[in-house]
Amino acid sequence: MEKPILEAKDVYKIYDMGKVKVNALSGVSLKVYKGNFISIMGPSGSGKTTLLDVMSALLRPTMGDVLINGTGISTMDDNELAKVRGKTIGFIFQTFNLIPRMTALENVMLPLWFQGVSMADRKKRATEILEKVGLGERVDHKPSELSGGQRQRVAIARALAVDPDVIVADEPTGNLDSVSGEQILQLIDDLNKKEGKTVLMVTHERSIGKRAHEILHLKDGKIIKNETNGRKRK
Amino acid sequence: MVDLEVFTVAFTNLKRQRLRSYLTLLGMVIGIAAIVALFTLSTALSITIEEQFEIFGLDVIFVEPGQEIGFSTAVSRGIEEEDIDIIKSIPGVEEVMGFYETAAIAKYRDQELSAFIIGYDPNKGEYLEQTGYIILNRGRLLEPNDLHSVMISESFAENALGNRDLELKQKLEIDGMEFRIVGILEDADIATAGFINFFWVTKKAAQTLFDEEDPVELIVKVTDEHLVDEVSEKIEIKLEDAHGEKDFYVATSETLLESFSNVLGIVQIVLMLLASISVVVGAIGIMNTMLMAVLERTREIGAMKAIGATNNLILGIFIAEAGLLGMVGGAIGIVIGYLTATGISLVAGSLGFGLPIVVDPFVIIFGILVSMGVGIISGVIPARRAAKMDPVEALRYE
Ligand SMILES: Nc1ncnc2c1ncn2[C@@H]1O[C@H](COP(=O)(O)OP(=O)(O)OP(=O)(O)O)[C@@H](O)[C@H]1O
Ligand SMILES: [Mg+2]
Repeated sequence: MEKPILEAKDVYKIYDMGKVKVNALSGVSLKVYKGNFISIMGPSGSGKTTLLDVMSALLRPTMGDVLINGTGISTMDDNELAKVRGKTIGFIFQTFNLIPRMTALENVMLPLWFQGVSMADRKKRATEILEKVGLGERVDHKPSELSGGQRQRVAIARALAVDPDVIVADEPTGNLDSVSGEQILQLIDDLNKKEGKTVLMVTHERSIGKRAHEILHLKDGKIIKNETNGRKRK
Repeated sequence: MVDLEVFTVAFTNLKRQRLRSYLTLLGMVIGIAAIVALFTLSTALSITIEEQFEIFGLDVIFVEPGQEIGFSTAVSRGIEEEDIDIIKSIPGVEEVMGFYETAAIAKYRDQELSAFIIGYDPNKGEYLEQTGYIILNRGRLLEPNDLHSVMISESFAENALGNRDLELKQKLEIDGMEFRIVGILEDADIATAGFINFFWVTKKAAQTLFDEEDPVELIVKVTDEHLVDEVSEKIEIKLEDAHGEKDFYVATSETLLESFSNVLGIVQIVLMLLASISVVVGAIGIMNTMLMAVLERTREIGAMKAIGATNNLILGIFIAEAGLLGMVGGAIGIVIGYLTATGISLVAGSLGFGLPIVVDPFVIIFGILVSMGVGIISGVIPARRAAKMDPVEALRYE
């Protein structure tokens, strides 16, 4: 049987706030295989972002472990986590989180720098990807000179720069109007359907969740429902 | 391993920085500018002074009124005309020259020129010329009964009036007395080493002008350099005998130079300390700017970490940025420092005191390295704060 690319094993994330303990995640187990498109839904505060964070090696679980390509993250130090993240995961944020002082091209080149890619290759690759997401004309624009949808496309290009296996998106359309939101979703959908990227996406809207193979419903840090959407998981 | 490309990113960050952060560089700019200006000016001053003594040579002794070097006052006039003959009788003395000096305002037509009047015994003009103290460019030396004649230096002749040159036979007025220019001296004279606005007049003219019989300074030339110390001692004994008190002091080129550089050294140290305080203020400014930058860019830092930046790389980016920021301050400071020094030198020059400004690559490199080093040190705390940020918390930062 195929090994999952990401696996959460009975993960707890507990924030100790002195008087109270917040269980952001309490006992989540999840297997993500290459090519899966998983959508995570649930009310605010249910632990969606926290789940994405642990699955993408941004956050160490309090208990349990997350395996990335079979390796547990809870024993890794900051540098090892950064390396694993940089190589395997591409991040798309609700608020884009581009570097405002850098041009689109420079933003997309950044993760390649972190991976030690040479300057010339960085430029070439970043230009290619920006063209692919339809921003070939905007490479020298700074984020402030781009529309929201364009910014999110730069962010997607940045996420794709190192050709990661997994794309992690936390409400990627949350700050966009419906038209550009739809375009971004189509782009992400294509990444999954055409390029076989594994996608983990948090969303509030059911209609958006429908694109996924699988919809996880979270409540109080637990997976309460797991809908498969037509196609079966491997 | 340090990835030097952090400097490229840091440079990008700085280039697109808001002006506000550059304002905090003021302390650094002022500090480095002050250090550069002070260093340049004091170097110029010591060059000038050394040149002066080089022209005098090592075989001369100065006898001046007062108790101590550098503290001669007009109150006690401790030198008399007769002293010249007393000193002359000491074995090993080749020549004794009495100088009558004072600062005055000279007038050419309506134009006022600040000048330093120096009176000497015209009988010794040839001797002064032979020893190279003065070199005649054109015209003639002063003669014993010249009462209304003056010699000036060539560069003064060229510069005093701005666009016009002073020429032979033109008339100057000093304190209501009229003088005609009879000689123009080569720039290699005593005057160019420091004061360039020297007006050479005869002893008699000086005595009339100043209403004073006695010279203010004696310059004694010995027959051999090695006799300088021995002769100095004898001068002291003999003059004290004659005056009944020690109301004068005797100095050689060497002791004068020493005390000048001692005083200069102390002044330099004090001023450098003051300038260093500015640099410390500058360092605090940079640290503050960088702390603000780290706070402002919290989410960016979180994003960079998310997409694979290691803690060390983040540390490097911010330290490089602080270093470059310091360097920018230093570079601006160096330019302003040299401009200030040049300005002061120009003012001094117009007052007749030559201060040659030399752009020293060592000063530039030193200034850049110091300011960059200070920047880097100031950046350590903010950079560590950035490096240690938890990516998830940073990304959630509002
Ligand atoms: N650093 C923290 N300290 C304390 N509690 C935290 C911290 N981070 C998250 N939490 C808590 O963990 C819970 C889950 O948060 P999380 O951000 O994962 O929710 P979410 O499902 O993404 O919500 P939303 O839809 O509003 O984004 C919340 O109750 C939140 O208050
Ligand atoms: Mg969330």
